[in-house]
Amino acid sequence: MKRRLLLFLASCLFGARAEAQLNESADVARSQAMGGALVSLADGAAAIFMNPAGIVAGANPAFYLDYAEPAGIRGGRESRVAFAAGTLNTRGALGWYRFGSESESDNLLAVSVAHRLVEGTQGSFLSFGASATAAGFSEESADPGESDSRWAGSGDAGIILKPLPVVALAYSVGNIMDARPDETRGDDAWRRVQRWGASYFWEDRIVLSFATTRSAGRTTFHYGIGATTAVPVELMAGFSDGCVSGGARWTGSWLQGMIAFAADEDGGVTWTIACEAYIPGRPGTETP
Amino acid sequence: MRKRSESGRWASRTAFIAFALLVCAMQAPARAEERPDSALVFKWSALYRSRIDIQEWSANFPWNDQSSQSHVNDRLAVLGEMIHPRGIAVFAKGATGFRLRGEYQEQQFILDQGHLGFDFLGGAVSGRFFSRERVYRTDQRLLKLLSDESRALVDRGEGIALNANAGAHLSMSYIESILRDPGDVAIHGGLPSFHGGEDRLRVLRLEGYQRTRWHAGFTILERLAGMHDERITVGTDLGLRVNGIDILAELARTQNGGWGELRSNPLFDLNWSAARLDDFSALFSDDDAFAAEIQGLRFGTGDLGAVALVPGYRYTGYAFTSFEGEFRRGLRESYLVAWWKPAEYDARLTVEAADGEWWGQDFSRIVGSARMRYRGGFELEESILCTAGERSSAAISFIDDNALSRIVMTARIDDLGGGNLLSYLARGTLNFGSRISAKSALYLYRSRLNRYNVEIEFRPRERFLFQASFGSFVPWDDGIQFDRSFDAYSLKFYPPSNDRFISFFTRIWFGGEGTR
Repeated sequence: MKRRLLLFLASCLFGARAEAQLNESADVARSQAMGGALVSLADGAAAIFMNPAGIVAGANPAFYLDYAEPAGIRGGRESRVAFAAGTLNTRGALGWYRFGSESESDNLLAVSVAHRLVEGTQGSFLSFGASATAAGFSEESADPGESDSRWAGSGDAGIILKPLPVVALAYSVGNIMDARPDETRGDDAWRRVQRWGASYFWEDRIVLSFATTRSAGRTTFHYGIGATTAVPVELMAGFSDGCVSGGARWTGSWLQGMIAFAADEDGGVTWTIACEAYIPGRPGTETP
Repeated sequence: MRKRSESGRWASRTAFIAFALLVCAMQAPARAEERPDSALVFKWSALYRSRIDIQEWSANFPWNDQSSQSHVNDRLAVLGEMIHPRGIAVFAKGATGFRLRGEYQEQQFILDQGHLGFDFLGGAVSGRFFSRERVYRTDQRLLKLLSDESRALVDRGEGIALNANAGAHLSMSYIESILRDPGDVAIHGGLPSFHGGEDRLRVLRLEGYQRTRWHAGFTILERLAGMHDERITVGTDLGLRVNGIDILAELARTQNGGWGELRSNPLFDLNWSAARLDDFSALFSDDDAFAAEIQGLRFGTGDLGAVALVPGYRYTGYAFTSFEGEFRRGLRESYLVAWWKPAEYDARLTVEAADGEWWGQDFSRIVGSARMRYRGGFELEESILCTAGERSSAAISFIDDNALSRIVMTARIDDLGGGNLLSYLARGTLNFGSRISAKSALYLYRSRLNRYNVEIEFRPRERFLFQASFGSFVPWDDGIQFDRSFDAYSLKFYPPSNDRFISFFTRIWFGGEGTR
């Protein structure tokens, strides 16, 4: 068992030959709103797409659903569905991401498990999570009515350390494949995505978050801020790669509703709506 | 001959004003009250401000051959004010001159602002002699013939402002202000000069009133030479209050020439024969402006709250050239404002509907807005604008204000259903204790321009302030207006500048107050 786990971790860190174009799968609504600076704030079922170590934080059980129409892609629609459940310290999750447009479709199926290795006082903890993913990419072929389809498997892993009630640190790594690498530039089809980030929680009302994403030799910085009001609505804003993003999240007794947007460099804006449902009052359920 | 005529007009005008003041003074003893014993109050302060800007422009201009530049601006201002219990107030502010515009930015010390204020006879006669101050307002309710917001009045003036009350039903005010060129100001060190001054503004207003029943006013505004030559505006306003309902009507007219031309032309040239019920504007000429409104139509609905209606009509002719006020020429519109306020909640729902014509183009629009305040300092405001023949626009604002932070986020979508152009502004101020604040702003302009700004503010003492900021736009200076409720006319807002900058700002203040 230990040998299998080590092999799986090695595939995460050194790049297993999985095939998918799943760059966008990490852009869950809250991540979009905070400029992508969510790796250290990932919680709940949606964490399966960003940092699987966050699955163990947040509500239990939880169901997440979102929908977006990416800017600049004709007929493009994407959606994520995730479910997470388990005990206070160990949880499993299932996730499905789908992107479709007039000419292609991407699918990602993920199975994750996360464990809280250490739990301290005042909410401090150390958690680890890993995912096994199956990714599929299909597009119309030259023959009318036919399509080319490819499937492959890979894995993600992540860790979150919250040593103090006011600080969280995180790291995650995954593998993606660019379906259309620019061969003239010598682009490699394989890209490993590494993210690390830090967050500062202030008086339970303000959270400041910073993260970096490194992929294909390029590092992107992400900055985010969230302010929880008395209503309760969390107002969020972020800045990444020269583009502004923002959103708002309302939290009810058993349901969260969220709307987020992110501008891109080409003058388009992607809107995402999301909701997360959970059962209040269950053991192991933390207030989101 | 012309000089004699001009001097004669001056004499008659001065005599008229003196007579009015005399009438007011004769009425004043009835209003005067015995003044309590009080002390002479003296206040003083000194303010030093320094700013270092390092800027990088996105484009080169003919007058700017460098793409980046640094500026050092500092300014010292010394203020003193003395208030005498008998109604005399003297205020003077000396400053280095970097607030002067254009080439006159040398750091010479000038009298930057000052006035001698007086208040006699129990308030019956009051006013001020002022130097380099903005005294631009009259008391009209609907037609703003003179407004501090006017783009034609960017400079400060020097002159006199008088206000006199005769009894309980008559008042008169007069403003004479010389708008000097910044070069003149620099030459004279900011001191009033008793000659020159081609650009003059004169405003005379007479008003009769009985506060709970009616008011009637007459205003004459004259702008001499300067940028807009010699031009005069006359206006009259009437108001009646019946059962708590105010009916207001105001009419104004502009014409070329000075005060003397008023005698040779009719004050208001209304064409009664052309007026029709379906086109009320035919009554007026192109030189006229007219506004009428009914206020106070309020209906209480008990537990459901209160409802109010404000119907009105507005006309501004194509040739109505009163640059000193707030007008949109070539406008004719009828409008209705209705609002509902619930009894138990701090909320307000407003609908504004208007129909009319602007420069020959018909328009119809409805603006709906809702504003709600919650406990804990949270406020929400939503607006939507529907205009005939165009796609709608919508805006939403969140404000969270408490001792810890102030977060304001506003989003606006134009061309709804079409381009869906999103504009977004997020401003946040985080207070790390009472001495340090961090501010940031993010701005997305119509889905395509992204800007940011970050600022740290340090206040170790009440009299010292230090700010360091950097970013790609200055959130407070770029004229971002979309976060306000939809104004019927300010639908357009401008893209932010594309300049990156680093700025350091320091302010040191000293001051005190004494009595004698």
